[in-house]
Amino acid sequence: MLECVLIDLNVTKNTNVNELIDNHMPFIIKSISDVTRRYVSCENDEELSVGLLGFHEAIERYDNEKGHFLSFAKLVIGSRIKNYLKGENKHNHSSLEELLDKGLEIKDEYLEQKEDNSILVEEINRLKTEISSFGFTLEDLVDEAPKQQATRKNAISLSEEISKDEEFTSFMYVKKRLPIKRIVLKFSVTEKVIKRSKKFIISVVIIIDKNLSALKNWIRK
Amino acid sequence: MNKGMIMEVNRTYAIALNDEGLMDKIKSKQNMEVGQKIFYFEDDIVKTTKSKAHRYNKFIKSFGSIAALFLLVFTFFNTMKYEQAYAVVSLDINPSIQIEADSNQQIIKVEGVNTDGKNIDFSDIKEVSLDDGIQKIKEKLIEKNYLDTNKEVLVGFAFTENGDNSAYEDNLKDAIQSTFNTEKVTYVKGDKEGVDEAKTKGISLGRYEASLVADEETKNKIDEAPVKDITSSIKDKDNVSQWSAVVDEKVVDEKVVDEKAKNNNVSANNTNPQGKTETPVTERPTVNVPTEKADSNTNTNTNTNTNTNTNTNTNTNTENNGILDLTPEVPEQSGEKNASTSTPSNDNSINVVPNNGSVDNNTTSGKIQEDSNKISQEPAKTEETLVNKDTKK
Repeated sequence: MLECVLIDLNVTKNTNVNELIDNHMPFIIKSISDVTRRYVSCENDEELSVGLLGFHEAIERYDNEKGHFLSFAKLVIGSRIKNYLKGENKHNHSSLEELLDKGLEIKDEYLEQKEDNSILVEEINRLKTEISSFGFTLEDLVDEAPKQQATRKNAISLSEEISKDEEFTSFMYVKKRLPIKRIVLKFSVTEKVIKRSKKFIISVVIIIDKNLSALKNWIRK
Repeated sequence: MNKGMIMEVNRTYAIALNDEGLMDKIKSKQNMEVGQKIFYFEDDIVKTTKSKAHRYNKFIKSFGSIAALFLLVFTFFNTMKYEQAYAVVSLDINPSIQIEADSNQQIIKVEGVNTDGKNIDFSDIKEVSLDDGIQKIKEKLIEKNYLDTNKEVLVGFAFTENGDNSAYEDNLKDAIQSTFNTEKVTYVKGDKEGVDEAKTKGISLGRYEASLVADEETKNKIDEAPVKDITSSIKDKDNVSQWSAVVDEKVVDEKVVDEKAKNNNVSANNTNPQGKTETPVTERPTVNVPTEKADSNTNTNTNTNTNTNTNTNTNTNTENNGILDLTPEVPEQSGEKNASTSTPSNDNSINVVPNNGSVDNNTTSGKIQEDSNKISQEPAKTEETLVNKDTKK
C-alpha cells in the first residue's frame, strides 16, 4: 500500500501517488530500458505507459514484508513489460486510457505527441552536410562542445548574436571559419571563449541561420 | 536521466543531442533511428578519448605492436629454416669438406672436416646455389694447390630427412661432374644415419660411407687414408647393394677411361691444349653410368657407350682442340641423352661461342694427331669394356 511505500522510501506522509511517480520517473524509465534493452522513446510510448501501470500496481500491492520497494517495483514493472511485449500484437488498446482511468496524471514532458520525423531527419542531415563543409563532424562536436551548462548557454546566445549579423555569417560561409577578431571586438568577449567552442558556435549559427526550426526548438527548450 | 534526440546512428554508438544543447555519444541499442527522441542515462554515455592525438597514438601503438609481432614471427621462422639442412654433400680430396644445403639447393653451411679442410675459409660461400658453391670451393682448392697432386674426389651425398629426391640428386651430380671435370670422381650415396655417424666419428660423410663397404685394412684407418686408397678399396669390392654397385661401376669405368686418357696423352705427346681436351673426354662416359642404375641397362649402355665414345672422340677431338674449358659441359649433356648424333651438332653450336680467341691455334696439329688417337684408342677401349662386362657378370 501507499503508506508502506512511503515508509520504505522514507518520504513525508502527505505525498500523493502522482508526486511519487513524478519523482521516480527516471527509475521507471530505467527499469523499462533494462528489460527491453532499448532506449525508451519520449513520444507517447506504449512501453512507458505500461511501465507506469506496473509502478502503480507495485505501489498498491506492496507491503513491508516484501523487502525494499524499489527492487519490488522493478520486478513488477519488468514482468508487466514482458507481458506487454509478448502480447503486443494481440490487443491494441491504449494503456494511456487505462492510466487516466486510474486517476494517474503524467507530465507532458514524458508524453510528447508523436510528430512526423521526416522534417527532423531532413534537418539533421542538412546540419551534417553543412558542418562537414566546415571540416568537422558530429563526433567532433561531442568532444568539443562546452561541457558546462553556463558556457554552453553563453555560446548559444553569442551564436544568436552572430547569426543576426549578415556580415559575419557571409564571412563564415565563404571562409569556412569564424571571424574571431571582429567578433571579439564587436561583442567584447574573450578570444579564448570563442576558440574553445568555435565548432559548437558554428553549428549553432548554422542551425539558426538556416532556420532548422525543429532542432532550434529542441536546443532552446 | 537525459532526454535526447538521436542525430547519428553508427554500428557501435549513436550521437544524441540532449535538450540542453549538448551532444553525447551513447551506446547503440536496438530500434534506433535518426530523429527519435529518447530517454538515456549516464551509464549509456560512451566515454570517448579526449583528443585525436590520443587516438592517433593508439593507432601507432597497435600498428607498432603488430609490426613487432610480425618481425618476431618471421625471424623465428627464418632461423628455423636456416637451421634445417635438407641434404649433405661431402667432398674428399685431401681436405675433407662438408656442405649442407636446403631443399632449394641453396648452400647453408660449408665447413672443413679434417685439419686441412678447417684451414680453408669457406665463410663467404653461403646462400648461393650448390652449383656455384661447389665451383667456388674448387677455385679455393686450386688456389691452395690441393688439386695439383690429388686427382681423385670422393663425393658423399645424403638427404638428412629420409626422403628421396632423385631430381635433387641428379642436379647435384651434374654440378659435381661439371665442376670436377678434370678429376676422377667417386660418388657414394648415404643416408641420414650416415650423416650422424660420420659426424660423431669426426670424418666426412664420403669416408664414412666408403668405410662401410671397404675392406678391413682401409676401414681401420678410414679417417686418414688417402682418397686414392679408399676409392681403389671400394672399387675392388664387388658390392651388391644398389648404390655401391653404382659406385663400383663408375670406378671401373673411370679406370677404363683413365687408361684411355693415358693412351691419348702418350700419343699426343702431352701438349698442353691436348691434355686439357682429353680430360673432358674421359669424363664423358663416367656421366653416363651413374644415371642409369640397373645392371642390365648399364651393360647395354657400355656397348652403346663405346660407340658414342668413338663417335664423340672423333668429333669432339677435332672441335675440342680449339675450344678449351667450355666444351665439357655440353658433351656431358649429350652423353646423358645417349644421342651420339646430337653431339656433333652441339659441338658445332659450342664452337660458335666466341669465348676463346685461341680457336685457331691448334686446328691443324690437332687433326693430325687425332687420327693416331683414334687408332690407338679403339682397341684399348673395346678390351676395357669387355673387362667391364666380365666383372659385372
